[in-house]
Amino acid sequence: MSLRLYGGEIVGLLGLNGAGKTTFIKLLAGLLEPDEGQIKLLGRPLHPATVRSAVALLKEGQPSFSEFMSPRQCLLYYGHLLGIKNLEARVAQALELTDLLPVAERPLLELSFGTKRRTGLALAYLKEARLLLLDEASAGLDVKSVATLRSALRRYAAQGNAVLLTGHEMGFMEAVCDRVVLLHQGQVKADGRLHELGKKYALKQFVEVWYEGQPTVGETLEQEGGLVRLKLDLRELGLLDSQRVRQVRLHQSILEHLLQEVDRVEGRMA
Amino acid sequence: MWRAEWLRFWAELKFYRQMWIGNLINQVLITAGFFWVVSLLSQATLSGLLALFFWQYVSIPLSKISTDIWEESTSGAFEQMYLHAAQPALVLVVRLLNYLVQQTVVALPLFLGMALLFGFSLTDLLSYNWGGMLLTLGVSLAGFVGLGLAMGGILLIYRNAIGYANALEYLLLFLSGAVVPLGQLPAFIQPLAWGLPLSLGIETIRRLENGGQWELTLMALVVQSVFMLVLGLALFNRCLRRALRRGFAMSR
Repeated sequence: MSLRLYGGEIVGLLGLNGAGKTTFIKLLAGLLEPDEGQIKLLGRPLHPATVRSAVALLKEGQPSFSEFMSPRQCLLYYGHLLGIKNLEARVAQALELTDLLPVAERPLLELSFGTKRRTGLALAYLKEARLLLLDEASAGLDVKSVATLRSALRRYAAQGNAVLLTGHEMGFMEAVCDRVVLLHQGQVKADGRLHELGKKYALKQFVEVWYEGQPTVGETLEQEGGLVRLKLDLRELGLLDSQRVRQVRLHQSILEHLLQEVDRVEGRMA
Repeated sequence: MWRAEWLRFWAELKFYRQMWIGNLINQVLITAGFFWVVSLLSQATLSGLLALFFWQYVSIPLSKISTDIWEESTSGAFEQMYLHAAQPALVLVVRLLNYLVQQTVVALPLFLGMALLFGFSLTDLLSYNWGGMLLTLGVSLAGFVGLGLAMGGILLIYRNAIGYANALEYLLLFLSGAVVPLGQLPAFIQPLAWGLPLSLGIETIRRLENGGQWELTLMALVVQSVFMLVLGLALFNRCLRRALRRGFAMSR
């Protein structure tokens, strides 16, 4: 697979389980060595010293830090390991940028998963990492934490840094990613901005409707009493008798559709 | 690196202070209990009491490095440390040294108090060859750093191997002469017992008291410790390379 990441953009790495997303993230962080091929970071072959100074990583489902330490202690610890100058001031700045000052002295064990994620982001700010990697970025986060993370990632990318994240919550990925890359069995199957991919794959936005009576459009998913649950293209919604529509909701996001479409093409779903 | 690890050490001590006090009570109970039993079975000697402290102290590299790697590879903190430190093995050793300082501060008054409690006089204490004992301790610790790194390396691949680290500690307690002198162990166990990493150290501190040929066992201990240190470091680095090919702590 061949993939380029540019500073200032947030790239979403999508794929079904086993597609190779986490493996790819680990390869970029130098936590796995590639069997073949080459990874370049800042134009040079990946080297542990470059990774140390330029890459920040937050892994799936793990705090990634010793939880007896507070966010401030974590940043000081890694700052000392990296030999960062003027450390105290820079830690304070990183804590402020990630809204961690109110909880900066509390052990991570007492803090939410979202706060632990932000501690990782603060570490990225501290070391001025040019590449931030987040595996399962929004997993385990509540609505407020997701919103906070989303705006924090936007701010981070706006400083010219690249962010690569994976996730299964397509609403979050759609909202935050500038570009998406679709992996299937370790291969890039699609790469581009969302609207470009939407056009390329002729993607449709589907809605689910509970309808009273016999519909003239859409695909029937189930029937219950006199009601029919339908899946139909958003543009077909106007063709239904609005008096008989009982409930409407989004059937799937455009990214979910994209994932299924690519997977269907690759023959996996069949 | 020293500042980073010193900061981490205090944070850990502060957070786990209740557990630390509990461990200290355990340490006192185990040492006093074993020494009391040993005293009933044979003559109570200063080197017998020292041997129990020696076992606890010298086993620290094994238990500390193993536990740290096991906990950190579970939480993802080891990978984070690997991302930020040029030499993970060196970070672990620096962390261990900080911990040993703390353990020394605790063990010294504890040993003195227990020695006096069990009836040893200040003359007994002052007449012991402490220089030889410290040399033996230092050499043994170096060997156990190797053993700790070896076990830590294995844990980077096989996370459930932590059980073997614990088992090894207790094997050393009973078969290295810490409780029963090597010469009093059953004959069929003795060849194995002499080959264990702690045995030569404990035999040396016993000989330091009873006037045996301690220089001989100390020399053998130096050879054994250098071998263990080199082998442990090599095994740790080999396991780290393997973990980088297959993922950290990915196998059971």
